[in-house]
Amino acid sequence: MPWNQNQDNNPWGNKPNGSSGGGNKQTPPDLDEMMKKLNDRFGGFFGGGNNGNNKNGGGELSKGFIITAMSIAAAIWMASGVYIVAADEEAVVLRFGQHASTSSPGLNWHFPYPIETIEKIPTLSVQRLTVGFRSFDDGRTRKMDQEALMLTKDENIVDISFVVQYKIREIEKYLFEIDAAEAINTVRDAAESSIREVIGATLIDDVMTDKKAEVEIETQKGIQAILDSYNAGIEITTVKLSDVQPPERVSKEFKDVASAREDKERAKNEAETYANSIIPNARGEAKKMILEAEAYAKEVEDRALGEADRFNSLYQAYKTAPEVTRKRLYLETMEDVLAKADKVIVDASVAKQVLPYLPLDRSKVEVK
Amino acid sequence: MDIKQIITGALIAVVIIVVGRCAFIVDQRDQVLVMQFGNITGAPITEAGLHWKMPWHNVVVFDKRLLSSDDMPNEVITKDKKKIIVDSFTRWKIIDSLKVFQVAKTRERVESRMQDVVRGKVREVLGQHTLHEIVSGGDDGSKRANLMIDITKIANEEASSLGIEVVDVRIKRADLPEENSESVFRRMKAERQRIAKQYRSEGEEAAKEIMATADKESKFLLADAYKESEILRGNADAKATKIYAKAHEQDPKFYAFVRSLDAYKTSMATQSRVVLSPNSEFFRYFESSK
Repeated sequence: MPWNQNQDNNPWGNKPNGSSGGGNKQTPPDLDEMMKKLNDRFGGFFGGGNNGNNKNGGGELSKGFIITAMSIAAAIWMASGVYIVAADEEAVVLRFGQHASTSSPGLNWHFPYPIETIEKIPTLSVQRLTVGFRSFDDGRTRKMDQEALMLTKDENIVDISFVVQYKIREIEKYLFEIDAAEAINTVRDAAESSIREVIGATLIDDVMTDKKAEVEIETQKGIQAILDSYNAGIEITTVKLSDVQPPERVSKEFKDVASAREDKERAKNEAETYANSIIPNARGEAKKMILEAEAYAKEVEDRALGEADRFNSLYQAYKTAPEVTRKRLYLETMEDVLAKADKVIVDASVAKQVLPYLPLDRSKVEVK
Repeated sequence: MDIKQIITGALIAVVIIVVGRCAFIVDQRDQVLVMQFGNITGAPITEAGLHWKMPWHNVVVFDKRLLSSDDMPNEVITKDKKKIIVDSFTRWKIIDSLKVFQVAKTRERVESRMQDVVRGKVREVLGQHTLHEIVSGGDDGSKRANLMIDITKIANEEASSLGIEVVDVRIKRADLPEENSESVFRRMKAERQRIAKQYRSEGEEAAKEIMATADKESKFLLADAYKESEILRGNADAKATKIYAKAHEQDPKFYAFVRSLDAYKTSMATQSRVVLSPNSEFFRYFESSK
């Protein structure tokens, strides 16, 4: 498109062909002047010679040669205006130092030097800068404490590294409003100033825990506002905190806080474990006690019922012949008891003298 | 070639050189002063494009864009008598190149004079604010931004006599000097230790509560169960007693007799040695049959 545009606007597109016909009318004033100068110069040389020699055949030949050489030189000069803009670039065309047009990616052409010059800028590629550390191509990084350490709202010091990505949004502003060679430093200065403003208004614990995203957003806004006030034509695409940590000198204490927090959870968990074991245990114990009591109750009651029943039956039978039954029960019992026992029969009158000498130590003694 | 041709050629060469010295290009990014024998002639040229001058004129080029200037960090005493190291940067523009040339000749020299002005203003304005206001923007958070605007304004007022505009003065860093940092670190350490201790105590507190609650609950459970089991046992005993009483009431004497016999049976184990009197009831017929 710019190529075509240039060609349309450019009557010089067919200059190499036109020059043999002497078609100088189409040239713009600047070039016209130059061509005139050239013509004058050569006219001076050869016109003068021609005057003297009057239609010399050699003069005709050298004039043709000069015109051809001039045409070739002009063609080469014209061709030097061809340039390629890569896919991620834009180019600004300066005509005598003044911004004339902006061209898009592709094959383009500009009026050759010294009339027009171009400046190519990679507007689509995202640039990256780091604050708080520098990374090198071989993967090493170096900490920049001066940049990274900053004061928080509660006057603590926190160590923050972050990455800013930006791209050039408006090539004209970028080139003409700010010092493009210093652009990265402009972004860095704005980034440092903004993050300190944001961190300065945030508490250290918030920065280190759940307000990271907020800090990123606020910082990005801050940088963008500063750059916009400079008319820099730069757009900040992301701000990413890569590292938020306590300064090295107090990192031990911060780590201890983290482990204290874990200790707290662990103490709770251990207590829960204890609770979880002791309560079911007690519940089981309680159930056992009740079941035992229930068993006891059943046993006691049933025994009572059984024994009462037995007594009743016995009593009913006994009532019919009390005297005989009594005797029988007594004798039967005694028979049973004494059959198993080791018996010593001592007359009551001698019992007092004999008893102490009996070998009674090995078992109980019953005196009847 | 005759002499005429040579002279013509030389003349043309001179014309080209002269024209080349007369034309000059002003870049979009620049502004230009035209000088005649060390003095400025004519108004500054700020418009980009092709311009003409006399062959003996020289041009002095100044930048037209926004320029950056980063000063060395310097020490400032705040209103609350705290020392801080302030690193600021300035964005500025050459507005009047003629004036800049007159007062300082070059960009570098005007920049260094501007830095002196800015440094003074930074010191002056920060000296009227507390550390808290400078770092955090004060209680409403706006002081920091406002004081930078103030510095820019008053620095610009003074710098306008240099032919420049101070567009933006910004505090990049405002840090405590080493010895104060040390006390901050000490405070941070103490604070963290306090927090760590608090966490641990809270953990203990929670653990104790949980365990005590569990103990209490288990004791409750056991006590309840004991109570219930005793009630059950008691009820059962009462019932049994009633049942026994009801049966035995019919003939307490007979009950005593029967129960005694039962007791003999169960209490006399095998091989018990029994010393008996021949006068006992059991032996009633042992010595006589009557």
